[in-house]
Amino acid sequence: MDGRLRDMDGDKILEAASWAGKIMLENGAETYRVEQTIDYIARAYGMVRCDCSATPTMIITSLLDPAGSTYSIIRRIKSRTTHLERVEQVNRLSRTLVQERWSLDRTLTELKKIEQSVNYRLTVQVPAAALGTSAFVLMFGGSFQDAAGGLLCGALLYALTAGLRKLGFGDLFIYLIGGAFAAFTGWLLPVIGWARQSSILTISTLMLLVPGMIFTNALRDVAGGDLVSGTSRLLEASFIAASLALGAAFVHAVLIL
Amino acid sequence: MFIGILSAAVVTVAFSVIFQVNKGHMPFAALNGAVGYAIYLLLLPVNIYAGILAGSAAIALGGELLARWRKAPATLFLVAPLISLVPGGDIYQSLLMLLTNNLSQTAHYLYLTLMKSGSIALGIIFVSSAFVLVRNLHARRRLSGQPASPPIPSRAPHMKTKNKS
Repeated sequence: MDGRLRDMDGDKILEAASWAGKIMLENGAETYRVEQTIDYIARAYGMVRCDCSATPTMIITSLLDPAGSTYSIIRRIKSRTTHLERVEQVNRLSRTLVQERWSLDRTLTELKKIEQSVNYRLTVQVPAAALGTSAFVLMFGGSFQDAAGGLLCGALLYALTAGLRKLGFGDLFIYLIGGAFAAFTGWLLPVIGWARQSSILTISTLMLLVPGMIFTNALRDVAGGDLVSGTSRLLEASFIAASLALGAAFVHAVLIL
Repeated sequence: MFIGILSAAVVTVAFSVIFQVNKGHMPFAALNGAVGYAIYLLLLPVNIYAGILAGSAAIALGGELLARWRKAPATLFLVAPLISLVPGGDIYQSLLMLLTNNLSQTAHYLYLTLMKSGSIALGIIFVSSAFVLVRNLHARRRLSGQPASPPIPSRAPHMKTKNKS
């Protein structure tokens, strides 16, 4: 125990644990999983107490080492995207650490690798978005011609939102523009004769941007008792849905009526 | 109906790519989505809210079970399948009606949106709450394997300020 105590580096343990939590929260994990991961990593490195509170915008972590020193940190979460592969990797890392002792440097390098990993590039995501849109067209009862139009609308919309995000626009603005663009393509394709049903096409394209991920996580947070995270995520989801539909309905009202 | 189930599976795969889920998990997520949507379609003639409730509960249950089997977070198997149940059309219609000054239709579609998303919520919360119970039992067992209470340091931690120099 004593030998372990002497080479314990509280600040580095704190850094590793809070960084793991930050990666998870930024990439779409639920609140309880973030807190659990930080707890696992801190205890795996010998901390005797770990108190951690995560909300969608920050993580507060406080650790107590066996010698009685307290280490604490606040990590601010500024942007949240969805990259579930990273969540899975950090989760696996924390479970590995409970069983085998890695050096802290190895853990930190691994975290850096996970933070920079990319699973699918835009060249794969855009075709997937196109395919998803045409599947929605069929699901809502559109014809195969409409589904072919959906391919085009979905690809364009996804490329547009990804581009806007890369330029650094705010979330709600992106959804407003995205919704307007979906309504515009949904109106344009039937006008030039490439599809037939404007409303099905518009709704199918909109489904690409629906905040299903945030909504699901919000409900799981509420079910797990993380009320602050749950309610703020619910509010975020309804803001996104409202701006999406507002952009679309505005263009629709101007163009058609 | 067959086309509906098939497109639910395709939608799930597409959203798994958008949400960056690992390739290995994708077939299982797609199956989960297809089964959930099939249950929704089967109950649709009875009552649409019952269909959505049962569909989302089935997807949540499938997601939690797959997560335990594949040893990965449940979110991976849960989020993409649920997308096909989201009432995107009703949200859109309600705001369209609002902008065209058709208030009774706005209220109607807003009501539909709230009822449908409430049904999804209820389905997820039922299942998730059950699994929160399982999770807590697990945590209790994990702690009981260790010494009853963590060794509390002899010096009171709140009296000591950490000095870095």
